[in-house]
Amino acid sequence: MRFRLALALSLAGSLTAVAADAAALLNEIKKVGSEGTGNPAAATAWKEVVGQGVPALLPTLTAMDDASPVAANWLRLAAQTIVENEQQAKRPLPAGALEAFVKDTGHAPISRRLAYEFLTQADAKAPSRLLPGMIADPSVEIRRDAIAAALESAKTAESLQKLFAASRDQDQIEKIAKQLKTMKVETDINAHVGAIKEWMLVGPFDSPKGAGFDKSYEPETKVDLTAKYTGKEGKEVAWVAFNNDENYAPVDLNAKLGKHKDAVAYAFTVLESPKEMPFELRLGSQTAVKVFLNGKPLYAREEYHHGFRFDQYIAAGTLKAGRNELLLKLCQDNQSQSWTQDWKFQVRACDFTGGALPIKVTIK
Amino acid sequence: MNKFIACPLLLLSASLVGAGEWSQFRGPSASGVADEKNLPATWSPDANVLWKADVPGRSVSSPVVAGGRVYVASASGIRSDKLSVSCFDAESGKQLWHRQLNATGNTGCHPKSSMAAPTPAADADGVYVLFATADLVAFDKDGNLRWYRSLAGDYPKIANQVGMASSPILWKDKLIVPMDSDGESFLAALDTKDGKNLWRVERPKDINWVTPVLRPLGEKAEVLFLSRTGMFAYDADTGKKQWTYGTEGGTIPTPVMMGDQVLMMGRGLVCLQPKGESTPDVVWTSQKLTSGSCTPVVYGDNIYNVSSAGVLVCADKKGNEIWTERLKKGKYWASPIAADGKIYVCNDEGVCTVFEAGGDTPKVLGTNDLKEEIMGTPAIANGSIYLQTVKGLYRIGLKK
Repeated sequence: MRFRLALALSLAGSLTAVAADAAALLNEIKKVGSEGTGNPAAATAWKEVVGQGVPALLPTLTAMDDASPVAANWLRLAAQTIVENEQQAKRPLPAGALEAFVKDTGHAPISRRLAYEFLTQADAKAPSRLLPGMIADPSVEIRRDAIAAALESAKTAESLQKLFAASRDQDQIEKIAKQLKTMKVETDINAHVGAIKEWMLVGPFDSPKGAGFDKSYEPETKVDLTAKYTGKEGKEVAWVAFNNDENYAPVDLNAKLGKHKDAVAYAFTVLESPKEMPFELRLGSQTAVKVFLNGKPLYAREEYHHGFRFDQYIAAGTLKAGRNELLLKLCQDNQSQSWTQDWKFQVRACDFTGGALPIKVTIK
Repeated sequence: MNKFIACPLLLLSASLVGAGEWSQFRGPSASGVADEKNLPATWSPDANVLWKADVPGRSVSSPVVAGGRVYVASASGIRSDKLSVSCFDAESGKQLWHRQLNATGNTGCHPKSSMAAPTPAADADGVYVLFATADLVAFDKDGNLRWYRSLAGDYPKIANQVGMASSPILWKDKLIVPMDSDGESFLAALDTKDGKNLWRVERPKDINWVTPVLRPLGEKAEVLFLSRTGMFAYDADTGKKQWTYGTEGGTIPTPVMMGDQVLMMGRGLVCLQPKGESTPDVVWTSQKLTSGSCTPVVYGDNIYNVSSAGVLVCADKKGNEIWTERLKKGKYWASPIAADGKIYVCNDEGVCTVFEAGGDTPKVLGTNDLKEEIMGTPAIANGSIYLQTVKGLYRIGLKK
């Protein structure tokens, strides 16, 4: 009895020591910064964490919760290596602990997803057991798997509507909407994804050789929807209203403002938020774009004619309670090829999963 | 060839080219040529395939072979944001390890491309893998992380949503990383030990898919980097610009060393004779040898070049056409490679045509259809061809 007690105390002590060591080592890894800062110390710590094996697995996953994207990849690779080493040694993974981790939504989506992947390797039945309860999971990857699994048996409009409400990936949204349409059930994709349909547009302003990207035109200084400005070729330009009910609400500037090159246009709208809340502004733009929220820069990308995609760019920000002014600057270059003529954008405001927010879009 | 240049060149080549190695894009000396024998001229899914391994997602890069291991990069996921590095035993095809990163950069690209477009670089210590997202990772040969960097995090204005595809190359203890883009644009040398910048030079803001090539100069070397605005030569140790040539250049094919001359894609294929820090002389120019995507291969006495549409031209080393052959339909993205008296040319429909090298007329030795899209240039090592389709890795060889 005394021997067992001593052994237990000894084991507990060593596990505590491992945990303490792991915490210090994981903190060292989390210090990695820009341009390789901290890499040598992190590499040493990484090897020691991996050397600790399974006892360091859950602490490593937990450390991912608040890690920077760079550190998260260091940690991800450590966790993968621990798991692969265990598998190659034909030792079982701690399936119970992994499942508990997956179920704990207090952990970050990326940590839980990785734990889920390990769990499915340890327990092939885990997906069928867990996924039915995860169609609205904070991890969009787990959610995607859950919806895909549920779709296989969803036959009624009610079950499909539930999956539509939970869906976040464009392909699943459209697939479910299509299935519902065959049942004569209409869906509102724009409302579902938080697409912004209403804008005030003004332009074109002259932007020779792309210089306008870095130049502040009058709307960038102050938005006055009644103002008139001197635009390209000295012509007067004024704000015009735009509304599009097409799915994802793309805005074709060529169609609304005329086809121009070497030009800048602005798009303005207002997001009324019931409270202060973090949000993501997800946009697609065929050309260079800048985003200003409440007069402050939120995002910029100087790239022309390299595609136009849903959620092409993601900018994280915070909406204040009440009125939030959103201003986009859309720049067109002077390339002459046929594939460089489009001048369009598309925007949505959503939560970090891609779900619509309880906000109202208005132009006042 | 200048004797002063020739001797160190041979020594350098000998030190870089290990037996059975194909350590970077177009092999250890970036020539696209291997000193391997008894390579097959024919194969099919059922013949002369020594093994096949699956990789997750899509890959348009080349496999690399070093230290008895084959390393492959691939990208998967609905958002193409799962970046994989797989390591296989070169002999048996057994997967030795697999690691997966989350992309930290933009994952937009042309539908034919992938986030796994740059080819890894490998040495006896392990592998360095750059993805089109500008995620860059170094593993030892057993899959232990040596270092990782998010270049998109370090330099957020990097922008190439057609899909970055330039590959890193190794020079001594430096990893030369090309990053030409519409936003932040640079060429850098990173310490292979810890991934920190040793030097970094600004480059013209323009997307570019060219992989730089080394021009050995005794103990030193120049990094030759071609782009739309011409050829640039940098000191590999310091990054100092040495010379430039021209005002236009191809944006995909890599420059090729032909002895002490350099072949570059400009207005046609241009043969340059570098001369110190002065502007190089143009030795000859050939419009016939123009290509869109593929890098020419110099093998024996000849130059072989394939156009994107599949017109293979064999020329002498003065650029004079010897023969031309229209290949099987399909688009040609992978560069031709050569070994064992054979020229291998693969297209995106999975067909590899094998030609006998040399001769006054084209002689086809085999037309081999794997029925899987091939975008990456194959590797030749260990008496076999490692052929990366967009979803799998084949070892093609004769059974011993």
